[in-house]
Amino acid sequence: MRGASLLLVGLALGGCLEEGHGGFLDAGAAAPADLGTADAAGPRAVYPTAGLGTGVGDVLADAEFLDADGQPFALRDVFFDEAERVMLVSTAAGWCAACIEEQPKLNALHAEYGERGLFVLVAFFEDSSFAAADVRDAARWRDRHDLALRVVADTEGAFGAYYDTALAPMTMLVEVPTMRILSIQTGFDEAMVRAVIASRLGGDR
Amino acid sequence: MRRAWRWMVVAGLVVGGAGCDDGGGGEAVAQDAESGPGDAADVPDGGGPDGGGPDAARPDAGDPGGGCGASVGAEAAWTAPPGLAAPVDGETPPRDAACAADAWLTHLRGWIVDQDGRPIEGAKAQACVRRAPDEQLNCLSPADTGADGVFTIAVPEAGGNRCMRRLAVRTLAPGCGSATLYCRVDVPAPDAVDSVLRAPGPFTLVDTAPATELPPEGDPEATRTVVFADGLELDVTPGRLYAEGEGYVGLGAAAVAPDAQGLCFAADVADFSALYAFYPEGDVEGAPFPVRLPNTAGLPAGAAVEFLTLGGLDCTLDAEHRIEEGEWAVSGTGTVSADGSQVVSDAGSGVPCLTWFGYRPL
Repeated sequence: MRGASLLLVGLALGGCLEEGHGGFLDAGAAAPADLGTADAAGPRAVYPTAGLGTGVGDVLADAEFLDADGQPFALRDVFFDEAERVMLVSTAAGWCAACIEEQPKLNALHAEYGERGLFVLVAFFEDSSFAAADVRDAARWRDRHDLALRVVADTEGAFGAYYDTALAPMTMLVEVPTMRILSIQTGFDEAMVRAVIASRLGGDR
Repeated sequence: MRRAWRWMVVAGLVVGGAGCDDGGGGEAVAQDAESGPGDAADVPDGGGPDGGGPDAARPDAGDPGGGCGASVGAEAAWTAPPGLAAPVDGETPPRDAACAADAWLTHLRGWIVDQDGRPIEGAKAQACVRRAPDEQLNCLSPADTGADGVFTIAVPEAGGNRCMRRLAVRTLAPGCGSATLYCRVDVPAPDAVDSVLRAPGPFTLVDTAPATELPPEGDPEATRTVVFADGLELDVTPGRLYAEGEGYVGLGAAAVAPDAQGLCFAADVADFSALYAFYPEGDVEGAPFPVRLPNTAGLPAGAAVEFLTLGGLDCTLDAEHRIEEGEWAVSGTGTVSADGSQVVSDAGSGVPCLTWFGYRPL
């Protein structure tokens, strides 16, 4: 059912499809067999390494960061938490007015779906003067926007491999039990994001 | 329909300090659209956040090693430099058939100058686009200027942003003490053939002067009066100022003649009595900072004025209203003092963010 729902969402939002980096897992994409059966993926004993890639349907590689409190954080931390089912990754930069507009929406999604298994991650990569972000920048961003979700300093631009970095923000949805990438968007299409999340976690669309 | 960008041709005077100069040179950087996150190697290194005071927080504008552009000896470039007309690198694909009713743009080219009209090398230009038809806001990574001050922003195909309804450009010279500029740029008409938009006038970065009276940072929640060279007084609570980089210790401002040459928003400020530019850019959380401004226009005692603020990266009027980049919005009111010397912000009014600010009689 989930796969069918996702397919319908993808068809309905076909305008969001992109070639290569970016896009949405839909009828035109090669759907991995285990997508849509996330809960049957089994115990999360080992972070998946097969099928790593940077496109929709690929497995998201593990990556390590420092969060806004200066504490180590890795994507595998999300994977190994059995309560997490979908991860939303949003890149943000201090120079990005669109990112500023997006933060309250991310907070709202976290509040609405966090208990149901949505993990929202903001990867802050540059300050307003285009310098690589550090922990202090990430903390300021979190505090400035009253974010109750996880903010990391993406100092090395780890997520830059997954989208056209000439644009910001990037919004990525990941199926946590498999760490497969469900969608990559440039910008933040809230309706589409909510539709995907609802199809995975239940709730109003 | 309101023209977002009408270029001044009258001579004007920008009140401010010297240009942000150095003696650097180098090849023109045609575009920087491929710069990615973390690619900050070409960011001018102009002072850090840990400076001990306003003078330490920004480089000497005349210091050749200051990294603040390369306009020494350059000719004023109020008119378009030759590089503006050069062909752009890369493809300029024809209009997408689905974009029949909106602007279609693959590149924006412009040039950045200082207040004397001299091109600035190594400055940054960065655009945000409201794409059509959903008006979703997306921002493009910055482009650098070359020795002639020219930059080219390529609008990537991804994301559908080439079909657009609104375009605003933020220009700055990081760490140099000049006020970040925001310009709304008129997008081409839907029937325009050329997908490359060349700005009709320069993007002018105005130097600010450090505050003349800047109390120690001390308790960030304590409000104190900061005085600027042009007589502007701002009651600042550092803990409510969200500004990266130098922040409070780097505060600066400049009075700018509303009819100064090269202001992209000249039409918007033509009826202003006074106009100020702040550095660094930043937002004020909560109530605006109360302000007192010299009554340079000679308005009568008791006269009411309205304050206007230029929308920037993060400029909030209140919890729900943000001023869009490049837009001027009424942000409060003030009254000329009994002795006629100052315009004083009314209760609850003041400076809502540090971008550009002005007032005009009501």
